[in-house]
Amino acid sequence: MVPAKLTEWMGLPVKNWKPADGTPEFSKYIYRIGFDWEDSVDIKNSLAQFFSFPGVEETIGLSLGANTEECSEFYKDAFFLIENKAKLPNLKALFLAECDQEESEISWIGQGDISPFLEAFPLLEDFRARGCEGFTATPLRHNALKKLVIESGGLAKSLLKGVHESIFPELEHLELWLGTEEYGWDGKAEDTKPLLYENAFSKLSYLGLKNSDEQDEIAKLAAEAPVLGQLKVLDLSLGVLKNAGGEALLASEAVQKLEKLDLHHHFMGTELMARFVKLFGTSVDVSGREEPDTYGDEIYYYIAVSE
Amino acid sequence: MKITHICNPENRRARFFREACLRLGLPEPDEVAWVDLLGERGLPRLDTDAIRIESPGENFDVERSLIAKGGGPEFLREDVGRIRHQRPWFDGWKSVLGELETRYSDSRFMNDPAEIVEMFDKPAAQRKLASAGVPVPDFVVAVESFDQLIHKMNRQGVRRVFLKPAHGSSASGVVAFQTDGKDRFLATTSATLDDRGGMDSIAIYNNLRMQRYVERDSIQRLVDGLAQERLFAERWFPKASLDGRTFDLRVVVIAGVVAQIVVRTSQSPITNLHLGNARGNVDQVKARMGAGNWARAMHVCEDAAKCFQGCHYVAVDLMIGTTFHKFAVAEVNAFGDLIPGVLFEGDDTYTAELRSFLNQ
Repeated sequence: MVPAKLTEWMGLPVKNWKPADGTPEFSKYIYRIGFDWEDSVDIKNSLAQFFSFPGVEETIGLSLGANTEECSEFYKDAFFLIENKAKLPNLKALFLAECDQEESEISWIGQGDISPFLEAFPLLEDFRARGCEGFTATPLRHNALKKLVIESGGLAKSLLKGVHESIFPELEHLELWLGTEEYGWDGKAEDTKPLLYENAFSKLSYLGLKNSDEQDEIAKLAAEAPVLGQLKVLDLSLGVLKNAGGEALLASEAVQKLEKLDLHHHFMGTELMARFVKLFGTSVDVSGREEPDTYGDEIYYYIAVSE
Repeated sequence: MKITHICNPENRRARFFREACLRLGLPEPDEVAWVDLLGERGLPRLDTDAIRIESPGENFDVERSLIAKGGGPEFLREDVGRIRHQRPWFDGWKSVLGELETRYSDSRFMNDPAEIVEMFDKPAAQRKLASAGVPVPDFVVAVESFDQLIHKMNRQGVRRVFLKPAHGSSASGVVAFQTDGKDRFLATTSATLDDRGGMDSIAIYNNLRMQRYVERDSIQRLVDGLAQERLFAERWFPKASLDGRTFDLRVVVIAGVVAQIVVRTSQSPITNLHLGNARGNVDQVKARMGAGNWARAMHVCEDAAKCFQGCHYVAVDLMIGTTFHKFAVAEVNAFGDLIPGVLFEGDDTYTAELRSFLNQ
């Protein structure tokens, strides 16, 4: 399951908004706007009305929910924000497709190039997007971005490359959900190597390379990665992390210097878990030990979020 | 008061009711087994004040008798989990309940047989609720085939539906289905398609594990197979989630008033408890919804129960929308009170039903 919906963001409460709710209180809330079939509300129509209220320029954050019943063409509707970028000159936080599984399966949410959104909103500090199909990133420079989170059940490796080649001087938090081949991951563990070994973000303190089928290999790469020297948090959670990856992390001195190591949802043995807790105490999260599924003779390991 | 329990005596439901009788100082109820009642000797003479009708489920001899009674095959072999012969099963069920009502018209029924039948005709029950102003998901179509379903969904601009067997029990045969209106399909269901015997002998089994089908062909075979029984489509009502799990409420309404409540949580769109899902925390849901919304939700359940005035107790499955302020009844159940360990004012469902029945 994808994370629960935000209730607070940028220090403000997050609230759903639709035209029937009347004048938005731009400085008091961050609004989530989406399609609502119960009220037959269309997302573009809602956004158009939202933009028509005086004071909309004060908006510092916006979350887009589902655009239709199944979100397969989410990106097209999301582009409407870019067309109306003049209405959002102060936008600091943006979430594309903040919908939970009951509203739309993550694997169905159609996304695209994230870079036009960064270009359109130069003050953006916190940018998050959820989905599978179509995610890419054209390399660019963005001077404000502090936090980038791409949640996916299957990313294209081109997004990793695009992010790595971008210039984000303020970037502190980078979280990429790599996913599984079945839902679009087309890379190998080695494709995360540039982010780990040729780090380009001088302020980076949180790195999440997670929700991956190849979590074990990524953990081995991460254990010796130079980027650890500047990180406070390494997040390898939600994936198929097994004993081999866990051993590599345990053996690394650099890993032991982290403030936080997040490994929750994993397939490591209990003995190894105990060693983690002994060595790291509360700074490691090894909760959510999963058991592989077996069908007949075959054993399946699964990431936390794919469908 | 002398109570007769028409039940499968070997089933835990019968035991729970026996325990409820003893707890309230009554003698054990006289039990009439479904299997005997459906046998050659037919309906016995009863010396009783009241009759409680319990589920005929989980007993293959009873199932076989009901199917035969409804005009289905006379000699069936057990095939655990297979979804089949639901129409004759329903016809048999309807006819035996009709006979009970006529034969025992001098006794009080805790739940009226005719209304029990209505609840086993799910599309009819949903229509009844809708016409009384109780919110239910929009009806989309009585499904005859996959092609007809797609055609209808496209015409109405509906992309996501729940397919439900009209006479199924709990999640058996329920399919959460979605399409992009073009060439992409997804069906999430506990039904398993077994077409090893070729196209002419497709069998569908209910499974305890959720499966996902994405191939059009498989989904077509599955839907066409299920449509051989009565199958209908309702619009998918997106349910709220808490702590990353979807949930709905099973609410037992006794004598018109909400009593026991279970939060059924799931990581899949289908929340029925027997599919390995977990119980959630009622207080947490209440707190998240706020007192006003919670009270409205409970009213919806009581309004739904009011549509079945002849039933002393009814179990309502209530869905709560993603924004926590809209509701829809997924279904009403005649035998949805099997929720051991869930108490209201210290009573489990069986005890609470009986206690208030005795006080009437």
